[in-house]
Amino acid sequence: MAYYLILGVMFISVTCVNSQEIEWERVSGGISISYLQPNGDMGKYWNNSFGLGGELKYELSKRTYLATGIQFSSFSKNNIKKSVPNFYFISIPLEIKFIFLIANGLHLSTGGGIQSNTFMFLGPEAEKLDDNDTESEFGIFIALGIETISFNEHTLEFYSKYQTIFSSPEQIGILFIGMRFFFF
Amino acid sequence: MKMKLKIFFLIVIALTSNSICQFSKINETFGMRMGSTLSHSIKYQEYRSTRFLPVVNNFNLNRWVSSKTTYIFNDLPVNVSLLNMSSLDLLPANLITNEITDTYDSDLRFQSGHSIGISSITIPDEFSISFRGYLGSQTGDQLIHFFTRDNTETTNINKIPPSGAISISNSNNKWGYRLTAGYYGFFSTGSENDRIISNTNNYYFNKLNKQILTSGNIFYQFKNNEILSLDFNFMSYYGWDIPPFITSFVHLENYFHRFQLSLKNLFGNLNLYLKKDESQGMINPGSGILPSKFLQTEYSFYSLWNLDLSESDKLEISGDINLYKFKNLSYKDDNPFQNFFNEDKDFINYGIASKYVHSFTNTFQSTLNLRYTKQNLLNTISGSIEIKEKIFKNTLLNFSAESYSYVPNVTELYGNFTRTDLIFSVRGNSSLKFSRSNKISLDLSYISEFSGLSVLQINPFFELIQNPIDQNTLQSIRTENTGEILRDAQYVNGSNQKLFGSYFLINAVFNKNIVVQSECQIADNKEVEYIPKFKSRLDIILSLSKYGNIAASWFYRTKSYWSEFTVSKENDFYLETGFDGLLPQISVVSLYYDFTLKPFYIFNILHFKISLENVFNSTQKYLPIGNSLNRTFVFAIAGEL
Repeated sequence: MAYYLILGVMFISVTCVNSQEIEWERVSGGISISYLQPNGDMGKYWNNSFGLGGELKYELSKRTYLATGIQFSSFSKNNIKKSVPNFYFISIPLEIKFIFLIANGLHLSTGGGIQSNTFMFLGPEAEKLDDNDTESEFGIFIALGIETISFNEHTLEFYSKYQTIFSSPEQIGILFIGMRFFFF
Repeated sequence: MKMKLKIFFLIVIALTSNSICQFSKINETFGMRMGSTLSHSIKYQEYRSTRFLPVVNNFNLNRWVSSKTTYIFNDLPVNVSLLNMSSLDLLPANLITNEITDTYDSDLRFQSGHSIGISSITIPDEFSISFRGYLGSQTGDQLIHFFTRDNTETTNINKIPPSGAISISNSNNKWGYRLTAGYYGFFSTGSENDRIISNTNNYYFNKLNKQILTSGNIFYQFKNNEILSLDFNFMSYYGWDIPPFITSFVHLENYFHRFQLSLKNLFGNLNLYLKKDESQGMINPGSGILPSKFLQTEYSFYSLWNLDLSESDKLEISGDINLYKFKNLSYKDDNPFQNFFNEDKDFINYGIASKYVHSFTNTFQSTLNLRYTKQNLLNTISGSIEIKEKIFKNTLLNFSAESYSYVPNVTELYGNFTRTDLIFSVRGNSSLKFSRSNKISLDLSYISEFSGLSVLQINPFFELIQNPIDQNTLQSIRTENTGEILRDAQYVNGSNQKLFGSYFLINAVFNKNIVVQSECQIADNKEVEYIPKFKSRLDIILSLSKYGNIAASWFYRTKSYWSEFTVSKENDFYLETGFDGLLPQISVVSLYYDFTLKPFYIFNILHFKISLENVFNSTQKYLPIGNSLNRTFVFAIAGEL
């Protein structure tokens, strides 16, 4: 997982730099909070969850951004099936994002990308996995949001994102609804 | 109208030439290692059971169990192989210090007619540090489904941990050096393989496949331009695979090294080489598998003399003498083991070859190759003739007729592997005769005068192989517990086989930012197994200027038939359906994005790549046994300081 984080940050650091120097004034960072609603088996046997994370984005051009971050969630089982474990869910997205002005100070944002998803299974139910109690899998996502610039040029964004994780025997889908606040 | 078409055609060609020149290195950047780079082209036959270690042949009628493609590594052939697994990825070569220079259909300096050349990239004339690394994973982990679905087992999906190589080098006009180290790791398991290998040996089941390589190269240039160079290369392999000799999953170890001393430009045009290749192989124990350990060593002396007889006549004379030693080693004290070779033996082979090139005019050239080889009691002569002519301004015609003979190697002659649980065995055959490959080929290419690359190419060919060395299957079964197909087989000289086909290449552009590269091969495969009737590849490369390149690649090949893996209903103790030996068609779409910065801070060049291979997760199998290669994300980085 750490590799993907490093790679993601490195990718941002270099992809956008045409002059071969990082223009730090184009980098923004902040925090995010979101509500996660999975479907399929994950929605059936686990409760919905909240996620908390850190965000980074780089302005490629006036309307184009490259974004990454890390988000942490904890999923608890709903006791329909007792043999399933609770787990931590850590996601690291890499997103290309486009914004469009729809009203004064209000932007529509849309984008998509790939996401690394790590599942850390917990408790005695996870013991039958032996050493494989932490597994990562990729997913792809599309996102849509509304951005407003306020609070001394800081950006507040309300967004929704749907991602599909390439698991087997069927893919997992998760709907994220949340808020991002970029304060630098 | 005709004139308009002609002008349009010329414009397309001109634009293509510039753009293809710009994109010519793209395919190389797709590859993680030497093997995957080569297998991107349909010109090569690819056989592999995992994402790594592809057995790649450049001769259509090559038998998978007995590859006759020789790798020419740093000017000299590699004649020792692990259980006949002649993969580029088992050589101590990597993409930062080596390049695939050429494929030969008419080079008889060595014992093989069909060969692939891998040479060291020139050492830069300043202190330089280069690196190339990658990591990735196949998709398809079970994740939560291990808990939510009944009757599921853990699955080790193919994962690629951080892997790569680093090299430091320096040179001036007198001397130079290069030191290289690399590490490659991967899990080669998956849903189908898991069942087999966990039942074969649970200890090695969760072990990562890994390889380590190290190389050291130094050279000294004397005043009269003579160059003395010393090279040491080492590569290890530890992991699961399906070697062609055994055609069954085993856990292997291999330790290969080469010492090479080269003296070039002696008396102006004489090159002398001394080398030692050594491979220590091990088959680790498993259910029904006794371990074995064996050593193959080859000492060789090569000479190559270039003579300019006149402005239009060039003669190259080469000779080689090789001492080949192979023997069994004890596995571990007190442990029962099986001898992999039927006997320990030494033998000498030697050969003399000549290449004569005559240029009739600046645009019309002929080449004649001849080689005499002697090994044990076998004597054989190979030969080829090639005619090249520029028939129009940028159109090249190349006609070649070749007849090569192949001497069986020690695995085919003396190899032995027995499954003690079922008393199934694969055996060498010391009375094998050499096989002979005959090929006639016509190659018509339109070459861009801007880039020097082919824009249009048509290459019909006819191949005939006499006495092909192949494994004759006496019986095949599908086992009860693992579902693995096991074969009771022996090497034999099979009946003659022929193949007629044609290769086509078209490169085109729609504007200066989009290049389309396409190739296909059609073959009449009625008599030949393995070879699909139709293979094609289409690459569309979109340049985003300063933001890098995006490429989409579509690979398609029709089904092929592998009779030796046919299992009757009665012998199918796992599914009870039998297996008809058909390998399904492959249709795979992959996406790539690459981006280059030069310079970037302390880096002279920095290159990134993200690839999503097999986007639609379709069935992609190159052998009837082993896993399908599923959807995979790979991240790669390469740079130079």
